[in-house]
Amino acid sequence: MAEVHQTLDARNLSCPMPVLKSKRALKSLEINQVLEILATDPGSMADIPAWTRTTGQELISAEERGPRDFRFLVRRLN
Amino acid sequence: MAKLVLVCDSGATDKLQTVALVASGAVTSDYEVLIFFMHDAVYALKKDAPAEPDVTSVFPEVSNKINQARQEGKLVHWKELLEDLKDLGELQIIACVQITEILGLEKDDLLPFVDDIAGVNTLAEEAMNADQVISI
Repeated sequence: MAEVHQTLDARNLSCPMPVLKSKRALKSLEINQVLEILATDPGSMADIPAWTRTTGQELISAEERGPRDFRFLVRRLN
Repeated sequence: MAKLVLVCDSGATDKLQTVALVASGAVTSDYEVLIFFMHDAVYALKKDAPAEPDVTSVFPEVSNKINQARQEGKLVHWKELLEDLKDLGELQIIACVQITEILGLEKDDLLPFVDDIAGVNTLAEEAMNADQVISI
């Protein structure tokens, strides 16, 4: 299990705010630290992985824990 | 860093929302983004612009549902989104000089996030140097 350094509660936010807030939160972390993102937006299962790919961050996990209940772990690499 | 130029020439609420949304996707993906506002989109950048009209879709149900979501605060307003993005990444916002001249607007009359007033040759140069150009 990766150690979580910060949790972003992006639940009840709709597109594009979960990614926007994730980016801001990730910027506040040190390189190699891990951000946990909680989201309910149905687009986030596609968008958060896409965002990590385009920005070169590591998506450690993307879980659909239930209907509209998503959890992501992202490691800051740059 | 890849660069995207967005051109918006309509002050219609739905167009402005779309421009801000696309800019959000690009800025958060580490694109450098330049938005060139033309025609009545420039008027929407006025500090004292009147309240924007509701979204009007050809489908009444779409208009109703979007406007309801706006009233309930479920949609982030395009101005707030652009302000947020300025602070988050590389976003430049330019207003077209032809319209600012017609409307008698100076840079100080425009919202603080507007970087500059410039003409179409600035747009042409920026577009030629960009990786992608999208007109909305």
